[in-house]
Amino acid sequence: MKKAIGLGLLVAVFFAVFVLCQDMIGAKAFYMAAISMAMFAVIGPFGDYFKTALALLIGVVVAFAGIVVLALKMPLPPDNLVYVAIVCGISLFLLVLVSTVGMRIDAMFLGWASGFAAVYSTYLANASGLSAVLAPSFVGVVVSLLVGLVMSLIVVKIAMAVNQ
Amino acid sequence: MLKRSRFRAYIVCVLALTMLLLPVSFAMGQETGSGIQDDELVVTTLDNQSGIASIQVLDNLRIPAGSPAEVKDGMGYNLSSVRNLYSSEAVVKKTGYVGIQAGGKTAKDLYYLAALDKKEYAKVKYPVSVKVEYYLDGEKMPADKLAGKSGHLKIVCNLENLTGEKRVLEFKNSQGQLVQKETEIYTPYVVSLSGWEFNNKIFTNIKAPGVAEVSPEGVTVNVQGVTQVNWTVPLIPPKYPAKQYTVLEADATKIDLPSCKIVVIPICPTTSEIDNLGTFEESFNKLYDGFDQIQKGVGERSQNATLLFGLAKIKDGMGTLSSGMGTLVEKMKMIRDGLSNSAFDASSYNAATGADASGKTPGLKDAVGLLKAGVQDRALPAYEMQKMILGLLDTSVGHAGEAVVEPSDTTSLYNDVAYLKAQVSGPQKQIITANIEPKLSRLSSNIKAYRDGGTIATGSGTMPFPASVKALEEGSKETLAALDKIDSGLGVMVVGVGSVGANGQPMKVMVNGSPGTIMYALSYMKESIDGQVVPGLDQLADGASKIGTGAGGAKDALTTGLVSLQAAGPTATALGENAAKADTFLGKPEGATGRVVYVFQTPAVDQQAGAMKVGAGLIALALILLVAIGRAPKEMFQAPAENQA
Repeated sequence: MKKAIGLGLLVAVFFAVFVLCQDMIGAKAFYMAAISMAMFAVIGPFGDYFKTALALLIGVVVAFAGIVVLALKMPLPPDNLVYVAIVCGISLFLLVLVSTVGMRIDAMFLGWASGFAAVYSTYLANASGLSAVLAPSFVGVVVSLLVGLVMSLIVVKIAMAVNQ
Repeated sequence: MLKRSRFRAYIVCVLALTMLLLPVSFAMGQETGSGIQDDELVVTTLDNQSGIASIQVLDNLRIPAGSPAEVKDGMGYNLSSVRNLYSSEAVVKKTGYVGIQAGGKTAKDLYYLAALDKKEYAKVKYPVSVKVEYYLDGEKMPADKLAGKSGHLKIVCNLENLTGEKRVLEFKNSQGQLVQKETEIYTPYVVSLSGWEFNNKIFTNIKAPGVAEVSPEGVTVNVQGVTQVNWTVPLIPPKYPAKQYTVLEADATKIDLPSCKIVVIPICPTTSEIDNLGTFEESFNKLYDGFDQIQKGVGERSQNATLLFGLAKIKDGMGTLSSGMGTLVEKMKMIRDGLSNSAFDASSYNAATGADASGKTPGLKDAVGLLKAGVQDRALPAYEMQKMILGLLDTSVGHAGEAVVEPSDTTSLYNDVAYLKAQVSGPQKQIITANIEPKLSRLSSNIKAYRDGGTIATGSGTMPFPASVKALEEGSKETLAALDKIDSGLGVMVVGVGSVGANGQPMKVMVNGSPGTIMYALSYMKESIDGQVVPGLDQLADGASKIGTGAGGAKDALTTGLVSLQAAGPTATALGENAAKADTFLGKPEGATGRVVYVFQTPAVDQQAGAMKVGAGLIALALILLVAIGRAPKEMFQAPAENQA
């Protein structure tokens, strides 16, 4: 029990520090870490967290690639819903394809959704400003997701320690 | 599912496009037959040193229905890329122009983004120069170096309108005459620095001070923790200077600044300012008339009935007066010499030559002195001697009735004759009584009369004798007294006339602050006329001349001012024409109307780079952690032996 409390406190402090340092590490969407943690805590003690991280990264990369293609090669908002739909469709199709080689589809979708959410509002409001926020947003989203993933791993480790 | 979703999206898209395009089509339908409208937004991103980081042109083309299949938009600079932003019409970079797919029965409203080739940046000529400088605690530094620092921040934005060109304006003045004026006409640009936002947590004491005629003051508005600063800078000579700057000052802590926009618009703004030009012109005309009268009143030296002419006359009169004074002084010198010769030596005076030993002749006062000396030193002593001798003669003669004593050396003739008479008788006694004694009596009486005055007895009778020695003596004394008075009077005259110094000029004698002698007074007056009145008149004339010149200059300035006032209208017209001509940056389709606006974006000053490094580090750490403890145990996923190859 003491170990559980100790590890629980460790996770809480770690998350609190992460929230506090969001500006310093550019992780504006810090809440994505909680979602990530919630989603991947179910992987269990024997799950491959590293592979999940790779899947998350693939999802984020595909989302950003889609946004870049939308911004540079397609007509811009507001009259571009068709093109957004096409890019989204192709992106998800790609993710499904990649999932066939062993990548977790849920992680890829979460990565894609997080990545898209991070820059889509900028894309809609100020497409020309995308170039300035793309890299920081990418880093911020990936950090949030990976921190959530690491914390979910720690939570699982806590659960294992408590149940031993 | 996916197909249904996409179909729905298409429907949404089509509906949305229909809703969007309906009013546009309606509007465009009204424009059918009109020309092409080409609006350009030239977006220049500045780097940290206020150089050009990138130039993009957002071009909005409104092409009416029935246009050719391809509209050729201008391409004044080489482009690195061209892209249609919001629609699917082909926008292609071609040789010397940008080809835009047009034509059809509907009007088109499309936007394309053109990026300039970096090699073209050096060739780009902006109508307005924009330079942004950053200072932290007085030290100039690039924008990116400010990130995260604290201190007194100063941002200076230097703006200059570079479009000035000489042009000759023609217009009619208030007299209806055609006037030509060469002036520098600019294309009017208004620079708007709006929406510069400063987080109050980072910036305090935010000020945007202005300096009259060179820097407009900014307007600061504090809204919900953010201070917005706005400036409007009209670069519209001649009303506003072509070169201005804005200043923002604030105390900053860990600087983080968003990108700010500087918008440059060619426009000759219509304002609600009250037009006082007519009143000014009327006032200027009156002022001109006033200066004209002053100039005419001052006039010329040769021009009658003018101030300068009058002053010249006064000066001439003063010259004559001075000359007359000089003559008067010379004559007074002569009079003074006639009155008294200070070089004359009375002790060596020779009456025969009429001069002293050195040949100097006496003046009037000297002569009086000589006369006085003659009377006092010679005549009066002579009269005393005469009186003494006459007394001795009287004693020697004697008088009748005196006691007769025996004659001796001391007895009188009368005693001796009386003694003799007593000794003789007869005819001798008769002779003595009848002839000698009466003669002696008359002699004695005449001696007395000669000495003291009275009557002189002769053989035939008596006669009055006024020229006695006593009378002469008294006359000489009176003469001497009169000469004393003359001498005293002449002395006063000599003092009054004054003396001449060794330099031949009247000696300076001042009494109670005023000249004390006639000659010095005349000399003083002459000097005053020559040294003060005439130079004063010259200065007065110079001053009057300067007033005249100044009035002439003022007239010229007023004429220039009036011409400038009268030129205001044509200038405004020329400015408006120039503003209308500033309608493109890249170029425009033939026959199209256009507008161009320039936007300069300052670089954002933030700590993103640092945050990204930390974030990247965290990613690496998380991945390492996941590799270390997040990998699945291999045996868990190993296939049963019978399924393995």
